[in-house]
Amino acid sequence: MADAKKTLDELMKVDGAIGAVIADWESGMALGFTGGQGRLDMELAAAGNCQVVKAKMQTMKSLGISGSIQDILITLDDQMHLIRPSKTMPSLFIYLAIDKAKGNLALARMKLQTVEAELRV
Amino acid sequence: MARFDASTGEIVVRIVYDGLGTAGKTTNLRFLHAAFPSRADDAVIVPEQTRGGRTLYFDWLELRVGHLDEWPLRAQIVSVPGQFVYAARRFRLLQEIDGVVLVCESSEPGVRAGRIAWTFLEKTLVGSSNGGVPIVLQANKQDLVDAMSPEEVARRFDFVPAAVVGAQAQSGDGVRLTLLRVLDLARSRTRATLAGRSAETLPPHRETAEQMYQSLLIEDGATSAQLTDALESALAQVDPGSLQS
Repeated sequence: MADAKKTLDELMKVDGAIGAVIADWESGMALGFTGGQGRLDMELAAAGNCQVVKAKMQTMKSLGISGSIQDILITLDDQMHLIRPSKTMPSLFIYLAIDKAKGNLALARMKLQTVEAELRV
Repeated sequence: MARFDASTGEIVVRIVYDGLGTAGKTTNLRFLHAAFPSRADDAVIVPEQTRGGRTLYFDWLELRVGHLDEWPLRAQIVSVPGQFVYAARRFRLLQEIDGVVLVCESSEPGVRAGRIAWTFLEKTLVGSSNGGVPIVLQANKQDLVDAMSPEEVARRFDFVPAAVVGAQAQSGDGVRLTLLRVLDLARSRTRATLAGRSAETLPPHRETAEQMYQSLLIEDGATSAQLTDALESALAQVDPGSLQS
C-alpha cells in the first residue's frame, strides 16, 4: 500500500519522468503532484486531463461499452502522457508525463499499473 | 441541500467544517485557498475574529469544483466557530448542508473534544431533518507526539463516518484529500436528489457570506433580546423586599 506522496515519488523514478499528478476527474482538482518544473504546469495538466478522462467515459457510455478504462496514452512530438484511472477510488486518476527520448513506454505503463494497484488514499 | 444559482448556471453545494475550537478548521480553509487560487474569486472571508485569530462567526471560502454531470459546480466551504459560547451560530451554519467534515485533533484530549462536537453535530443534523448528510472525519494534527492513527481516532466515535482522513492541516497533508472525499460524497448525494432532473429544479441559490453574516447578527440580537426578556421576567417575580435582607 502507498499513499499519494509515495505513489508520486515512485512515478518520478520512471526513466524520463517529467511530472506526475493524482487528480479527481470530476472536479479536475489535484490531490497531489510532483515535477513538471519549467516544462509542465502540473495543476493545469490535472484540470485539463480530467476533461480527457471525462470525455472518454462519456463516449464509452454513449457507445454502450460497459468495461473500464485501463489507461490512456497521448503521444506528443517529444513527450508521452499516460493516464490511468484508479480502481480503488474511481473518482481519481494518475497522470504521468515522460520524455519520449529518455523514457520507455512499456516500462512506464507497467510501473503506472503497479503504483495504481498499490495506491490507497 | 444543493441549490441552483440561475445567475451563473451553477449548482451550489455547502460543505461545513465542524469541530471544537483549535481543531484546525480555519487552517484547512486557508490551505485550500492557497492550494486552489485559480478556483476562488475571493480570499477566505472572515467577518470577525478574536485578537488571537479564533473564529467568531464563520470562515467562508467559495471554490469552483468542476462539474456535476453537465452543470458547473460551486462549493461554499464554511467553518463554524468552535467555542461553546457560539453554539447558536454553529447550529445555524449547520442547516441545509450537503456535507460535513468533522475536524478532530488526534490526541486523547482532542478526541474527547471531537466526541463532544459530534454529539452536538448529530443532534443538529437529526433536528434539522438532515440526518443523511455525509460526514468525513478528519483526524488532524497527526504530527503530535501522542497522535493516534486515523483508524484509532475513528474507533473512538460511536458512528461510522463515510470516510476517515488523516491530516496535518498546518503543512497541508490530507487537506486536499479531505475536500475531495467530502465533495465526492456531496456530488453523489446531489445526483441522487436530482434523479435525472434538470439542476434548474433545485431550490434557488442560498445566501452569500455577507447575507449569512447579517442573518447571524440579527439572530444574535434576537438571542440577546430573548435573554433580556427572560432576565426581566425572572426579576419581576422576585420580591424586592427579599433582596434587601
